[in-house]
Amino acid sequence: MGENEVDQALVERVQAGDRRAFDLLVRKYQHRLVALISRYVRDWSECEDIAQESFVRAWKALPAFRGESAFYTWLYKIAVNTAKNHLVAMGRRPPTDDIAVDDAVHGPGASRLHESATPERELMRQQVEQTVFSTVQALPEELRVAITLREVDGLSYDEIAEKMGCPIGTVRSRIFRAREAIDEKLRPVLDTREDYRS
Amino acid sequence: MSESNLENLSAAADGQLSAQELRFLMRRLDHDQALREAWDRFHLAGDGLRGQAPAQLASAAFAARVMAAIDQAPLMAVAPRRRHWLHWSAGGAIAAGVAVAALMVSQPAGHRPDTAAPVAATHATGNTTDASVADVGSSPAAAPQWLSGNVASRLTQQAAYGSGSPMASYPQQVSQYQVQPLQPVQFNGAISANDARYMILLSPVVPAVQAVPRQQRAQAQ
Repeated sequence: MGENEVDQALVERVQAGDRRAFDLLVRKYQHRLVALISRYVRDWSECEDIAQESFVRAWKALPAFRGESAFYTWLYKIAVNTAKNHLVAMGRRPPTDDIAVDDAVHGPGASRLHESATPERELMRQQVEQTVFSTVQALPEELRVAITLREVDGLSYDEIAEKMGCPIGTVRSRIFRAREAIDEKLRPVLDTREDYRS
Repeated sequence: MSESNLENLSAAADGQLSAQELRFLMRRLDHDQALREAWDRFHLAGDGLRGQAPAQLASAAFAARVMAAIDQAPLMAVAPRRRHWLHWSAGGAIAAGVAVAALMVSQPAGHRPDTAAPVAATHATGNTTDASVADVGSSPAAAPQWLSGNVASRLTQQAAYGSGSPMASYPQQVSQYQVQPLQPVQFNGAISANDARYMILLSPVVPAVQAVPRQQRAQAQ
């Protein structure tokens, strides 16, 4: 099951009235969305307000979401429109060129993002990536291969089981143990992040 | 936050839980803040592993603020999904209705003297075209007789009338337009006289003006 299918399953739960499923979607995409909006709006506190408004709009419109596009593509459009509306409301001119979904968080357009990123936040991003990389490198081979095949190559559990010649249950367990090991190292890094509201 | 719940969370992130397992996990998440935060970090770790960690991270309390804001925002009402066949049949019904209405409007012949509704007849004050129009307007509740009965076959028959026939017998009671006899028309020979027999020319009743050929007008000037 790919990312889109996971999202679709959560969306269907939201549409069936399960509010907690939306919490998972918010937690999954909050960083990407805030990063996307920061490419339109420089003020960090405004970015989070706009991201929050975008999620609220998505929540309200979700019953009408038909799944014809990926959930993140749909959310991305809501966020871009909300950011542009915000700029217009503030008497500022919104950019005429849109950022492609694939480049929304990273990629060639990221230079504009870096203009608005503070050195502290850029340092945080680097720390996150370094922590993850160094932890994965230190993992036992079967865990490292399993998590890499899943996260980097996007293979399903079935495909990983076939490649590694082991049962699906073992794949599931290896991927979890790899994540657990990464999480143990990542948590202290994230605990140091700035939180302007709390 | 038990290890089995964390393992289920990891499997859920990969879409590997059954619907029932997912439902159970949702219930756990409702009461387990640490489990919800682990979900956040699992995805961030995945982004980091792909070298796609967002350059700006949302603050730690962001998700909680969003969910608090959502509590104030009701879900939009779900519109029932339209079925395609229903959509097309509704469109077809509208088109058919418009076609029938157009046929009714364009068939003043229904008010033949021999079939005219008695109600309309009682209101008739004169034999002029204008009076007839007024009469029809003054009796909206009276359904014209030509609407009842075998309307479809009659309309079909009327459509098949030839150039020599009953157009002349169409009374000028309803329309302020005169119905003129059918005339054969030719467009560079593309349409024959036979083709033209279905053409009905309508023109308003206006005082007849003697047409003066352009050549004569030029001579007069």
